Amino acid sequence: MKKLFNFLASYGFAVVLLILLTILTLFGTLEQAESSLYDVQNKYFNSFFLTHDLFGIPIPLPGVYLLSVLLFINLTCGALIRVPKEWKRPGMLIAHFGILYMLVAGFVTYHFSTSGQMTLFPQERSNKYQSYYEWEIEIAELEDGLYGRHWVIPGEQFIDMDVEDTREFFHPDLPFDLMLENYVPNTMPQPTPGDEGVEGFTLPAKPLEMEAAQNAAGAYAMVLDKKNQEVQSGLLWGFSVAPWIVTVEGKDYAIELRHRNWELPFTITLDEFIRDLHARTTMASNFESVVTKAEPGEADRKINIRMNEPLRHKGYTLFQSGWGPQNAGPGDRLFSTFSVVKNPADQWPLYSCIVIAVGLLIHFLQKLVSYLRAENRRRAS
Amino acid sequence: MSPSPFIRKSLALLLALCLFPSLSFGAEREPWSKEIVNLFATLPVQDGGRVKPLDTYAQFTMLQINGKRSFTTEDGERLTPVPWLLDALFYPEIASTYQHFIVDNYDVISAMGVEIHDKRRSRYSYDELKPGVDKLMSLAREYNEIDAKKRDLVQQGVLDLTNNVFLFTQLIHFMDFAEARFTVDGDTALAQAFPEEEGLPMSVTLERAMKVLGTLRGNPDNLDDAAINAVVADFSKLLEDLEAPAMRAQAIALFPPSDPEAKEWQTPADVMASAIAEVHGAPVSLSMLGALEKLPALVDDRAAFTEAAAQLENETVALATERGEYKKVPLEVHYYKGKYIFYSQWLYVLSFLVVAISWLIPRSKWIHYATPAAVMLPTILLIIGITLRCIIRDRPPISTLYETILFITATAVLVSLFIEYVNRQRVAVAMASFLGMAGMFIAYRYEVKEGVDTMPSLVAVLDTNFWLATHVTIINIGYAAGMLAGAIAHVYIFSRLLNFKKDNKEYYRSLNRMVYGVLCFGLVFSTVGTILGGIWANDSWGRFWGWDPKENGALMIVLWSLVILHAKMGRYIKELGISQGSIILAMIVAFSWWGVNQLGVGLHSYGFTSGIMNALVVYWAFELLVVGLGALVWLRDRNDAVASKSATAS
Repeated sequence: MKKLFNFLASYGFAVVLLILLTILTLFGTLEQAESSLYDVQNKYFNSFFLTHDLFGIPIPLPGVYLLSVLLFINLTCGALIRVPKEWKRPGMLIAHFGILYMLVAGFVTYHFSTSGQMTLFPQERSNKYQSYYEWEIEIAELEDGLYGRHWVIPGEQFIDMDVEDTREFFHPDLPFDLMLENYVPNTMPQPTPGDEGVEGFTLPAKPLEMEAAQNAAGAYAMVLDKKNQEVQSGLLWGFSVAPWIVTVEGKDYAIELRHRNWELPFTITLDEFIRDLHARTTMASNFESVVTKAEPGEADRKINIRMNEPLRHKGYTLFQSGWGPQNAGPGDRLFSTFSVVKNPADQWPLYSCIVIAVGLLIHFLQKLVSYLRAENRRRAS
Repeated sequence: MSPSPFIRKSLALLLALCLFPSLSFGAEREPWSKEIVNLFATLPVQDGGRVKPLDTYAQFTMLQINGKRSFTTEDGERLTPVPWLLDALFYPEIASTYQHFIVDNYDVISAMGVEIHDKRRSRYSYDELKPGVDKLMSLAREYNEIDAKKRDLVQQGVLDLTNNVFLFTQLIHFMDFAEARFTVDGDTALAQAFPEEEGLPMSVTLERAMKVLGTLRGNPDNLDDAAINAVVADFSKLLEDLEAPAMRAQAIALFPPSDPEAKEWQTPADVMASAIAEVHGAPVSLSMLGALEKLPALVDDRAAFTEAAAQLENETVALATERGEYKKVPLEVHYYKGKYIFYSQWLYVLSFLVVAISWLIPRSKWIHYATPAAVMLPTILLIIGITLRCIIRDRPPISTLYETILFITATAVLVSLFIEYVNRQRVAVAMASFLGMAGMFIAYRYEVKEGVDTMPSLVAVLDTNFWLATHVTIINIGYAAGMLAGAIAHVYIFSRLLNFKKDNKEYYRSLNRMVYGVLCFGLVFSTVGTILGGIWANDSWGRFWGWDPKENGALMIVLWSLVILHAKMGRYIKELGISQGSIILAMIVAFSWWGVNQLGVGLHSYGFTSGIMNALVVYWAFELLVVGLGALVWLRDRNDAVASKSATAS
């Protein structure tokens, strides 16, 4: 046991982990010239293991997630448990504690944060934001054209499907089962003259986009009436403008494949979007959205969200992240896009930065003093 | 990168400009007087989103076209940017004969069907290029559709040359409007405002036409429809006449708008458009246009020319001052006139010579004092230069890639000088001198290569002095330390390789202390800077860490510094290993500083630059070689140790 502890706390283990982290960061950076950032993150940085292709030779490597966990253990054993006996170096203790804190922040962010976007035209309002990458299928009961009860199939229940796979979903409150097949992570419906596909369209697989947010998933869907086993076929596509409407036992249901949605505890109305350009250029000097935040029991509040000045409220942060349409001419109505993030560890990196900076400063000032003394001694001798 | 719509528009305008012969205001010319040059140098203009002296505009335009800031005519006259620009504006025929278009590859010239010079890299005149301009434009249209990353050197060369030809063509036609004369014939109310037989210059024409239109507004004379239509027809005809020469005057926005709310300065073309339609902001006083208009006719009467230029300068400066946009203009002229960066570069070269002499006569007392002084002098100039830039821009020291070079050089030199002050080994001062020289050389090459204003307007995300002052400054101090540690490590490895001071262990210990100290110094700044970058990203883009290439580069610096320090603490490496590790660290710094920009991806797109990959590869190859030489030293040490062991045993 002691041997294991010594190994986990050793400088050698730390060095190996740090070298591997450096190499993976390098590989993950170079890979971005070829693949989307999202795919690179999943392959190199959010993974336990991966295989890197180095000039055609596959090299198995641990992922950054695993390395971070091991580094956390190494730091805890080496820098906090074993080293405190040396109180001559308080700076190192503080700095290592700060790094541990930051690793925890990274862990919390990775597992417990949500991030997405909200796009509004002036005078539009919303209390929802959508994931950039994650998919879900929503089934909603329609009553007089309005959405009633709804059920959601989370993406993790179908995004692992291969194009040949078929998967069935059911719920006791629904009068039908939903069956998916031909799931493709990126597609564009193509009209087909033959019997192939559904409703005259096929969903051929497309290569993944460099910008992962531009991938449009799709699948053939079948609704099986639980009572009479009647089958209705339709097509679900991530970027379709309207849901697929089916009627089962006299009731209408809207079925939609869409980016995952989350609700905010408040509503945002875009009052005005401002885009300033540097004079006589097409370079923006400022993006700014004037919004009104409304929530039950509180007075409405007007807020300006601009680059570097987000809105932070109730654990959510809204950032000015984009605008469009990109081909808009002068006087065209512009929409504003906000990045919305819910991150319990939002400000932890700031706190850890302060802790690390204090620790490093103490330590290296001590080092500087001893260096100056050593040089003085050398020159004196 | 997608094809540029700007280029498409530019090509259309270029075609239009090329159809007009350049006017000749004077076939021969006497050199521009100092007074005229000064008047124009301090003339404020708006370019690239900011108000700057015409001197700055001229410098970077010349740099872009000519590849350097001076040009020697066939008569042996050395032209600096402002006189060169004045020639283009007022002696277009003469300027068209100047061989100032730098072309790196003569395949570009042969592609446009023009006779090539003997040398691959050569300079051509507008007159030489003109027969091939049609072909050049058709090639540019074709190559503009190719993704920027996939263009070959000739294709990129064609696009660059097209831009330069376009820019120059705009300059030589800029004053065409001043020669044009306008009148309105007939007996309408508009025609009655032009009783002279001869045509009138643009400013007077606009003034009269606007006056008539102003009077007719509301129809106080109760003109019938036919009379109104006749005025409208005359006015349309006048507009057509005005448009052609005015549209050629778009290169320089030199008239501040009189409306304090309007942001955009105006070119002569804008003045015409706004005077007529009031679509381009409030119309400026036409007297400034009149003052500019007078100049070509006075070009051979330098006293009168100077007087008219002074009137233009006075009016422009008064209005710019009133708008609060002139304050920094004289300082910017001073910054470039002072040539702080230029002198700093050459004084660093000189300081290196002094350092070399100090090695030859190590016991000389005067050289003992002269060496640090020789390095201090260019450093002071460099610091003055950086400070002036901060004042001119109202910004912290770094907001562009060019400024990182100046700042990193100054930081590395100052840290070296501090180390020299502490240990007096004359190694750090030599490093200071060498790094100063290398840094200034890179700054010069980069400025020439880019050929654009090094004090540009900033994209929205960078418009924050708080983060520029904290994250950007701190991370660049980390870069400086990484480069310096690597540089000192070279001294260690080469000293060992060449057995320099072989028996002086203290010399090596001292070198190692320097490398280690700078590493620790760098680690503090790299770590804090990287995390601050994350915090900024969290405020701008909504995430602390996004594995963006620039972020990853900074992280790699921190990780590798930690590798070296922990490997040292674990006794896996000693002095030699620390030096080798530090050289690898410098390679990583180069990757983060310049290399990631070559990937062409990520959110830090404001730092992208191109064409430096070759230099980087050479640098990395050299550094790997030095690390390899370090390994040779290690092998030699090991063999020596084994040999001495066996000798002792026997």
